Amino acid sequence: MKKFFFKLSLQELIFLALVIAIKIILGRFSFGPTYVKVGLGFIGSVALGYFFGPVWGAVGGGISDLVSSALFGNEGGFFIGFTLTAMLAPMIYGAFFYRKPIKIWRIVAASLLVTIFVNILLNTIWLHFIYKMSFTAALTARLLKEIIVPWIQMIIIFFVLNGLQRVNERKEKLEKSRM
Amino acid sequence: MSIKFEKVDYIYSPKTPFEKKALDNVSFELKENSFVAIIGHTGSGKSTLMQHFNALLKPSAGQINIAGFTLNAQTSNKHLKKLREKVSLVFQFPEAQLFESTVLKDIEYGPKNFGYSEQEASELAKKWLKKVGLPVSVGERSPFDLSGGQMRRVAIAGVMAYEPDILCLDEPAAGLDPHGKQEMFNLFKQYQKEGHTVILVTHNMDDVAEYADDVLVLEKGKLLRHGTPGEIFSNSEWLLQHHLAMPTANLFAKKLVENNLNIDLNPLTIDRLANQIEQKLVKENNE
Repeated sequence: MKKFFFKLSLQELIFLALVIAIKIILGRFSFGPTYVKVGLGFIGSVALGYFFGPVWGAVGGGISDLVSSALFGNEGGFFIGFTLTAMLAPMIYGAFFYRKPIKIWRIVAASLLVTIFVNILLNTIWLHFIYKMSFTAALTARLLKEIIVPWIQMIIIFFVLNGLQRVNERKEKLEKSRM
Repeated sequence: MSIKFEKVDYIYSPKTPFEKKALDNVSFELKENSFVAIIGHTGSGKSTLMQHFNALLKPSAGQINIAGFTLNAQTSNKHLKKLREKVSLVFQFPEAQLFESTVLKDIEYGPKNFGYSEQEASELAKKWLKKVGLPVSVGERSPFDLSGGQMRRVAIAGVMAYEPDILCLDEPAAGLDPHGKQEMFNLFKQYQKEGHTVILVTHNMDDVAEYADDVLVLEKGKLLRHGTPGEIFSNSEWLLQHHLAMPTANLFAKKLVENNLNIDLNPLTIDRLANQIEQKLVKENNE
């Protein structure tokens, strides 16, 4: 249990707040042609999971959704289900990446899990709840995008993790020098 | 080829409640291979002006001619890479842009981005690492293991490595120790003498007096004056009126004149002030 849920020092708490802020800002950006827009919020989720593990990562994901909707509002109004999905993604990334060496299979597995469970299943269910859309109609509308995007995400996650690893090495070095 | 601004306006967030005019009808012409200083208060539009030099911002109205490019409100973002190879900006606290795993790789990033081969980039990186005054042994270290001043040098080396024709610097020596600052400024002055244009944004009037040969004074987005440091600093009342500082040498010369030592009020640099005092004393001794 200790591995997943650790006590946060004040420094780590501030770092968590920083990563949450980064996730919110990244979430405002997207690239690509209109039919397959890739948002960048997932990079923030990866960073939350990688640095803070599943539990604090999930907390961070939830807070980022709340703060983001407070600041910028949500399309179609606030709905607690999306806060839940925002918590689940960093949780899954955390389970795969936190304090573990970077491996291609971890990246593929984590992205597929997030895509299938969070983006395809849960988010479609929420849309079904909010708009009373038929489940299959909501699904087919989203399916094409969700088939293409995860592969792009995996490539990005690979490079992001390599960057984050360098930050982590430095962070650990600093912590050791303080002890 | 000179740098020419014609009636340039820049408005942030136009047609919104946050609309703000940051540049207002700015026109000037800068000679190539000169050392230009841009001075003015915080919020006078210095940084906005600087971001126009390589089209990070495009004028809302008016036209800019720089490095063979013509920029106006309709200029598209395509084809600007060539311009940015020729006109480079060093932002304030440029050490924040370091990101690569080693110092050399970080310096190579710019040249590679502008199409230099691996080998050329690597040679340039080594050359500029030396030029900014860092030992070769630093090259293979992570930029994040360096001191603040060393990081600053690495970042500046990264921008100068592909040898842009026009180099714009925003407070490049802020927070450096006196020796390091002197070294950096000598590097920039040398770079200018080798046939490049250096544009310096600064609050430090001593640097302006010492190094610049052309000065732009901005106030509230308008170009207040354009002239040599001698012209700009000649009128202390005008400077006071516009809340601009005087070079230290001028301040001291003013005190001396108030105490009836008859010397030039506008010596600009400490060296020239010392010379004048010396001459004065020699003359008085002889009389």
